[in-house]
Amino acid sequence: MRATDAEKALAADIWQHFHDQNYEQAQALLAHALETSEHPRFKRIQARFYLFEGREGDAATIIKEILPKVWTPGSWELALVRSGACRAKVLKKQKVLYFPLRKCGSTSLLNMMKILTGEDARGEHVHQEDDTRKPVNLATMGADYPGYFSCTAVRDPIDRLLSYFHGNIVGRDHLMVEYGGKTEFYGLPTKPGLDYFLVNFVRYRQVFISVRDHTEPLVSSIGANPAVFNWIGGLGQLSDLAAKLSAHAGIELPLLQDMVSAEKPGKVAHDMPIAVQALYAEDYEAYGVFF
Amino acid sequence: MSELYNTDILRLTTRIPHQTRLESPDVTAVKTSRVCGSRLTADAVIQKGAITAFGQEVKACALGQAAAAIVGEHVVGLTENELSGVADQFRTMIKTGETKFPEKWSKLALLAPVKDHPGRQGSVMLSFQVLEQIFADARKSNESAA
Repeated sequence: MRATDAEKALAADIWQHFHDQNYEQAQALLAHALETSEHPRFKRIQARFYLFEGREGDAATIIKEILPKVWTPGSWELALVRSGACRAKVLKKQKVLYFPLRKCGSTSLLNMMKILTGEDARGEHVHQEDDTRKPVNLATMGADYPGYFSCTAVRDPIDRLLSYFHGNIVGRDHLMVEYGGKTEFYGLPTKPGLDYFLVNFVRYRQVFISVRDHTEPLVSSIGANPAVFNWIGGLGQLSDLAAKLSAHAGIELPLLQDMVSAEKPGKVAHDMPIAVQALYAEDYEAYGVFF
Repeated sequence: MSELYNTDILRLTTRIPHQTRLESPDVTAVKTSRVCGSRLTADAVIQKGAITAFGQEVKACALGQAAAAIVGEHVVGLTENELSGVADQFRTMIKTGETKFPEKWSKLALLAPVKDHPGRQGSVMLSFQVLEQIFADARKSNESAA
């Protein structure tokens, strides 16, 4: 279902009000849009607004309903409803499926996929090529992609969270840049201290979709069954993955360094607020052996 | 769409006081809304019938966070008697829309539109329910010690 120019303009206006922190106006425009248009993009905005309001259940109900009609669902949408599908880098010629997970060595591994396809590695820019990553159904990928080598790398969720905080939010002013240089967005500092961030973690995940994307539990994205992948491992085992990929694709890959987090976490799981511990409890259960 | 999530409410979500859990609380209580899954965990120290220290962790929608922010402003010094009166008035408000609070609790009236949204009422009640539980547990503990 193609959006008309008017629908596109209306959606842009809604987002503009939201980003201008004029939420009441954004809501009013969205209500108008929902009354006058059947286009799924407005339902998606409604789901996003529900998340902003902390109404995850209501957001999930909408996403479940519209997901089949959405051409390129966002990572957060797939994860919210635990759709069983995860966005993957699909290398058709080399028959490789790589499932990039945020803060799990995905920059290095996406660059490695570039080497496999004969392209130059491109550093952080590989993350902007989302159009090349399509949702792959994990339960049926063996049948959907016969002969493919499927792989992903995972990481201790608290390490991921701290790496995201130190590397992205503090190190690269991620939130400030994303929200046009604002020092606060809906009352939350875009460059908070760690303790403030952790205490308000639930609200940060509601307000900033990029915080949500970077801190989704692994199980929300790739399910809880590591056996569906031909290879899965931690960041300390990437050289093994490089060797397996070399063997599978018949291409000599340069030696990939095993990664050890440079940012030693100052906090461990039991220091974290209950909300953080609860969010990642299933990750430790399903994937703890790889951390 | 509703005017429930207005600027005042959203502002309150980032001003929740007492968000550091207590290391040695007299009482800890947890309440979860069955309707929306919002959860509030709170610790308290109670001396001479009044709360003297409080810590809370709020995993809730924006309305639950706003309620926790308002209640949290006045939680130190709160007695069971005062809580009971305000909680009753709050329950009346979410049933009838009537806003009749003592001056210091007047911000609770910001949550009045929840009257028309039964699905959101569980979340805004959590702060009161958890405090009621805290006082009830403290009373039991005192009785068994006596």
